[in-house]
Amino acid sequence: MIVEIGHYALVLALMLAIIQTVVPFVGVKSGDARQIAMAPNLAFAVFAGIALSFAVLTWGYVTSDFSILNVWENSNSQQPLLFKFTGVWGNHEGSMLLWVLILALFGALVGLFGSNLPPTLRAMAISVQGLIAVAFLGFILFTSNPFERLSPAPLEGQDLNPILQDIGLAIHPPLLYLGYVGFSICFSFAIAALIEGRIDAAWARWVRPWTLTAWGFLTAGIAMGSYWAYYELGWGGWWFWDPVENASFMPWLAGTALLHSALVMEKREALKVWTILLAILTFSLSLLGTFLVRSGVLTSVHAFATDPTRGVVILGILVFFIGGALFLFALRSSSLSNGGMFHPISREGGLVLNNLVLTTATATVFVGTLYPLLIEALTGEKISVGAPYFDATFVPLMVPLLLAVPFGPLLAWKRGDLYGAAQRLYVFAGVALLIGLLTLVFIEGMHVLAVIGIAIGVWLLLGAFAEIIQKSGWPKAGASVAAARLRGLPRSVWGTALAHAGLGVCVLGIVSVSSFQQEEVLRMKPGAITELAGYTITMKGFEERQGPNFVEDVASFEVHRDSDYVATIMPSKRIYTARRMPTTESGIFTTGFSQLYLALGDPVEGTDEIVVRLWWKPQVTLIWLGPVLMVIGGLFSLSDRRLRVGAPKPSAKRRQTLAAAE
Amino acid sequence: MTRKQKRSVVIFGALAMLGVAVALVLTALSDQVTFFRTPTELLAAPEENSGRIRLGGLVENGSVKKDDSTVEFAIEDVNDRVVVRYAGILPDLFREGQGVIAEGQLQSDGTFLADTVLAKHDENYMPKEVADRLKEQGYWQGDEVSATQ
Amino acid sequence: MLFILVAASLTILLLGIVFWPAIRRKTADVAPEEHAFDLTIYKDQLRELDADLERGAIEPAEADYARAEIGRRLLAAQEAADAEAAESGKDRMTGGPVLAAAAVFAPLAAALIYSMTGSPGMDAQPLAARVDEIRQQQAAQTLQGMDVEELVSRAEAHLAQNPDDGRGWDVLAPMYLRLGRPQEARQAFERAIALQGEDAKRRSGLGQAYYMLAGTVDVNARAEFQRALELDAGDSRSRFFLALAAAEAGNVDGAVQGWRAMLDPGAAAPEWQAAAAEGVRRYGEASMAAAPGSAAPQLDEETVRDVQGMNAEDRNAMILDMISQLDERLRDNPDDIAGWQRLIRSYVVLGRKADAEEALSRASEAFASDAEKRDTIVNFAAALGISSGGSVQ
Repeated sequence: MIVEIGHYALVLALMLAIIQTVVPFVGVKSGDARQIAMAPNLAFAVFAGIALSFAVLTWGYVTSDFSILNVWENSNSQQPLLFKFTGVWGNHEGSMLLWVLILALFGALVGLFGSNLPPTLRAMAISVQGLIAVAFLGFILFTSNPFERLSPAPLEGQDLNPILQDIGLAIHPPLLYLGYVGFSICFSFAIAALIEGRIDAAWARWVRPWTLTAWGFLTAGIAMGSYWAYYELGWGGWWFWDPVENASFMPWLAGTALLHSALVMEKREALKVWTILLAILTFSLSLLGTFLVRSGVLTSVHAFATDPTRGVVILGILVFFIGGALFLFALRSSSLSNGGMFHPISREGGLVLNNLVLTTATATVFVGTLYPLLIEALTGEKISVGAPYFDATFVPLMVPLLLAVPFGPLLAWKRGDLYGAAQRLYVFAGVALLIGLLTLVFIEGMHVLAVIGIAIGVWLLLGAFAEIIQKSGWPKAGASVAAARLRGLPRSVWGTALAHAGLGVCVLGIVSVSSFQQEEVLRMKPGAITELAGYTITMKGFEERQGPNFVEDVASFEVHRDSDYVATIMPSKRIYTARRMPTTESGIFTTGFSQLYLALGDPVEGTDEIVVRLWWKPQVTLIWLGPVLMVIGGLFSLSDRRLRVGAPKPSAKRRQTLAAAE
Repeated sequence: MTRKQKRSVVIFGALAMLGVAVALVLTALSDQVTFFRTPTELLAAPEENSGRIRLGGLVENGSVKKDDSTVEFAIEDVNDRVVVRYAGILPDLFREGQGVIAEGQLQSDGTFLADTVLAKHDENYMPKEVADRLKEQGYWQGDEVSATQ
Repeated sequence: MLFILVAASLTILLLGIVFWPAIRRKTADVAPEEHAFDLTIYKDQLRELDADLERGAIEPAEADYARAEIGRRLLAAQEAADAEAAESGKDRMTGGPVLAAAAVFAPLAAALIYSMTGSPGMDAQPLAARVDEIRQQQAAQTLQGMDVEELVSRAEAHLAQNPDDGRGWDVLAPMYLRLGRPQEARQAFERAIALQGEDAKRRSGLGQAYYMLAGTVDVNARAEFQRALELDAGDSRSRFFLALAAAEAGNVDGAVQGWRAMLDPGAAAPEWQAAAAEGVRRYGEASMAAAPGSAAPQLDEETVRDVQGMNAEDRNAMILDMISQLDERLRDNPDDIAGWQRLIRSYVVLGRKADAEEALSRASEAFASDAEKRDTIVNFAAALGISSGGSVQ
């Protein structure tokens, strides 16, 4: 019965979501305070229904209830408990359910924390949020129902795709979805503002922390996914410009732009129309990402659940929301009043530059991702656009932005002093160039691009703290005064610095790995010795091991440096018994920020040799530590007191009017 | 500066940025796009396909030869076959008779030097492009059997 | 029914949450007007500005600029707020009909859609509970002296002596099918066909064995069913499974049509009629509603479920019965490598890993002197993901 209650709860949630769409909207339009007041509770009820339904599905996975088709297809009683949990979203139906669960969660959070919002704005946003929920709940129930039953129930399930049986996957999709779907809040508020034809001062104040939250999750999700692909696929790559990766990267770029433009809107009430448009675009790109991954129109290393007929439905949803939103934007944006003025050289000007570059970069990624689809539709010619395209477009576009980042926070609002900012920064620029050139001493050959890249990374890293140093007044003010001022600085200033520094750290990692990585592919047998990047690597031998639902051949390699023992690396090849599917588990040894990465190939027939691929990846972990810093920066900003807005009390005058009316 | 001037600075900047981006995208798309070819198409016009190519088809049975760290195998479709050489580790799911994509360049001796070989995570996987082409040739009917819901 | 009760309480609870503000709300309970929120924010901003200035986080000149700007916005918002207050009288309460419609619509539509897509009578079947249940049934049946395993092993022994007894295979094959041993069933049917010639029953039995092996009507199974229908166009089992194949391939209409044709009285064997009715119920409600005239008299749901449930439970009970007997037999007569393999596999299929490991270590003990047989068993077990830990080297 439990399973069927979960199914019913999902159906009920769909019906309540329909009410959530209609009632608050009608309430705002007719001015009925009763209906407006129901909005938060509707969001709570829809969330409760979906959460119950999700809990039931999870229960089905954990108890291996193979009378649920979805559980039978994607789980196995032998699977470790953790992967029974993650199996819930390791498939199409379950991951869509997670998607709407998060959507409803955000809706409920608006209801919960929205008491400081004008009630009509809140009701309208919740109504739009409800409409999105209706579309996706309908999609789930009618094309991808996770509660389809199987009778009689088999005694054993088919196992989760082994490539997904990994802790990285346990965290990656929920983080990514929290990011994707988090932007739905910005979208709903943008649509609400367009429908109402005005933007309250509360709008930007409210939207910014939510953008920041979604952006933080998305950043963490993308970084997590990149690290997962790096160690799980055994190819040693950390970013493939794969369509599915691009699908999450585009909302990130647009979301980053939105984060910055919302800042201008909050502080200066400028860029209103643009911010609204960005909010729409960011969530549209999130929907596009969902479409690309779920529909199977693009083949990718990541797409684990694809079904073209479902794609058509998602495409319909996509066209409806994006088309509808842009139509509404075209119709209503002129009614939004213009805000404050600013000089091109100013904090606002810097943020506009940021927005220009980020949106243009998003557009190039967009073109590269969808061009093959367009060409195939028009000419039938099948092409692919890979890393070389993105290296030739995205990278040169981003370089000017990276150079400009440290200037931004140093410029004053409204009218900035570029010369003054440059004066404060030239020391950093010098240090950055020097460090860039210093790398030449430590490596062989001339790597001009590497020198430039390292210099940019260092420039970003150091420049990120220029604002803090400036505000502390050091060195003029003396150490004790400076320290006191540092303590008094708003957390958002620290947040900005950390996030920008994280960008620098990430750039350093990328440049270092792409320029200085060393790679070797060779045949080794037990006792064989090879050298890589100053390490001596000895193959010790093979061992067969039994995992819970797989058998694996583990090879062990001893690593020495100058005859001192350093570590033992154990890459392996697994066969998952239920699906008879082989996977490669890489062996990684981390030293400092760098890693030694080993992956096994096929055994050479007729010998006891095996093909081994070895990489030396200098400073590779910086690629993911950078985003971690960015997320921490985001958390700092979020914890800033200023993002909290107090709720006004009804004015005395209005109370009197009403009392008189009664 | 007047309001109008300030606005025109921003608009000019945006247009300049857009122009640069369009130029970059157009050059990159003309140079960096990889075409998908089957062995038949590749051998029909080797001169036209001298650039970077994704060669897709089935791995010919019995054609895989491993030698030191390079692998040699043939990709076939209904009419033709191309010998592929590849230095590196083959994907886990690379098997004879399975669909694969090899990315690289056709050499003057008629072999294909690949720097990437792709097979898919899913054991039933047939790269989409390969499946479409083989269906056109009437060589492969995948959907017939995959009736599991 | 408990399910309806729980579903109804859930509906009432959620609707209660939704309508609570509407029920509780009194007109005097007024929300602040829109522009009051703007005022609050601008006042907040002014306070922050002062705090920043105090800390030295902002230049005095810059602060003055900002203060002037926020001040202008504050004034504008104040004017708007005053205008709003003067204009707004009381809240309108026009939404009564909308709310009533919503309160009626949600539960009705939910019940309707659920009844189309759900299986309200179907119990949850967590694996652990199912294994327990099967054990209990097994105990009960042993008491009744019911012993299919012995029948089967007697038949097996007989056929080991007389492998060319086609009638023996004919008897044994369906028993394997019922016991849920598709691998053996397949071999038995193949033997029977080879010895007795093909007929629709054997072909469709073989098809069912393939179906049970694959968990779906695969090409092999389909070929057998089609052949069976060529031999006897009325073979119920083949008709049922070919319709299922159509459903699996997405041709739901065709499947429902096929099943429905089986539902006329006398059109098919009763047990397959029950199965076909279940198929129609699972896949065909929408099309049935569209053409009520053509709808066959439906078996009532309880019966269908009973038939379906009984079969599965019976089968599972028999498997367990068989396993425990096999286990006993191997204690007495451990030199039986095929027996050990079957035992270990059975435990793995049932998810009784500890028992499987125990069986493996007993087997390795039994073959302690015969390294070849011991390795065979250990490798076999390893392929199923079973190892006996440190006890075997």
